[in-house]
Amino acid sequence: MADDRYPLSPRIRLLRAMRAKLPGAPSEPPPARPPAPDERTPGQSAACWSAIEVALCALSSSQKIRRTTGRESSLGTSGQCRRQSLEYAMRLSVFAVVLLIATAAPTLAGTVMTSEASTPKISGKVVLYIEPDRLRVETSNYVSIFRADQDTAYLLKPADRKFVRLTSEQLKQLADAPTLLRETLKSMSPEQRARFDEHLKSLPPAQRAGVERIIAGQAAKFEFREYWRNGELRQVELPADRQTGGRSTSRKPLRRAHLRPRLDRGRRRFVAAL
Amino acid sequence: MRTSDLGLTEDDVGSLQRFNDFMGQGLPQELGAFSTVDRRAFEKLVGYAAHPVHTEIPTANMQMTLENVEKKPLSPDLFEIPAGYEEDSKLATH
Repeated sequence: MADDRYPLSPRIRLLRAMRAKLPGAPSEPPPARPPAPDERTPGQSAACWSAIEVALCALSSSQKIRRTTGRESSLGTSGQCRRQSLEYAMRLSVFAVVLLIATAAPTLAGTVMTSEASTPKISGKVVLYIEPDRLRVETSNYVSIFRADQDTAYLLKPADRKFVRLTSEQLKQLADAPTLLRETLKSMSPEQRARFDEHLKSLPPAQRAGVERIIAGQAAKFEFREYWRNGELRQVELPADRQTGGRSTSRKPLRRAHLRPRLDRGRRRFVAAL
Repeated sequence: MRTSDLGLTEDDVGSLQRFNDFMGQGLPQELGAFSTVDRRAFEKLVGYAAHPVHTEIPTANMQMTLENVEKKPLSPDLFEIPAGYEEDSKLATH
């Protein structure tokens, strides 16, 4: 045990602690002598090392050494303290490496999703770059960046090298726009309203229908439809309601809860809005 | 499709839901959230964390099909406004 190659190993330390409690136990080895000047590493500052040693001793004395050796009386000796300091320094190094790996992990957590999209305005690849608190969506014409940490989204148009910033506050104002529009329309004079209606008629049909729905306080009627394959949700489709041509016949404003999909198991589809 | 079958956890794609919630603030109350990308709605429907692999919105004449998913380190620059871009109060969409 005395000549063990690994004096700091848990096994040796445990054996030493047990031996120390036995009657007639040999005394602790004398503290190591300070290194001679010619034994010091050139350029190494003894004062610096002492400061680190003292700091490590102070850090370790209340936590580690007392637990591992069970002997408080010899802790003050510089040899044991140095040995424990080295042990603690090694542990700190391991901890530092683990910490570095842990903090580096989020940078490895990126997810890239590539889709093929076809819409009237966008066709081709849509690439999503996803990280826990941020998102980037790339299409052929636009780039959207969402930063949850800033509570802000940015819409970039690379062709013009311009971007628009969207904040929560702006979005909330946008949500109130239909109400403002309806109130404005109510306060219009008959002549003003006639001009507005004329302008509405000049809009493309889809756009006009959208404005009319907003004025009426109605949401578009659409449905989720799912397709099962081996018990998995494979596809989701939102067709227009065929009976109403995609427009709600309800005059009652739809509440947010109405848009939560519900499962119609008999027809094997999900209805998203009624 | 199960999110786990794509090799992903909910944490991996959590920002999609956060983006959905964020943009949902801009929708009129009567219109609700973007149901097509509402991950909570999907999970409630099918009983597990799911991700659509194919989406069609006939009213918007839109289709989208997921082709590839991979995990890799992403440059922080991807989430920053590139140098030289000017802020505009209104973005032309045509």
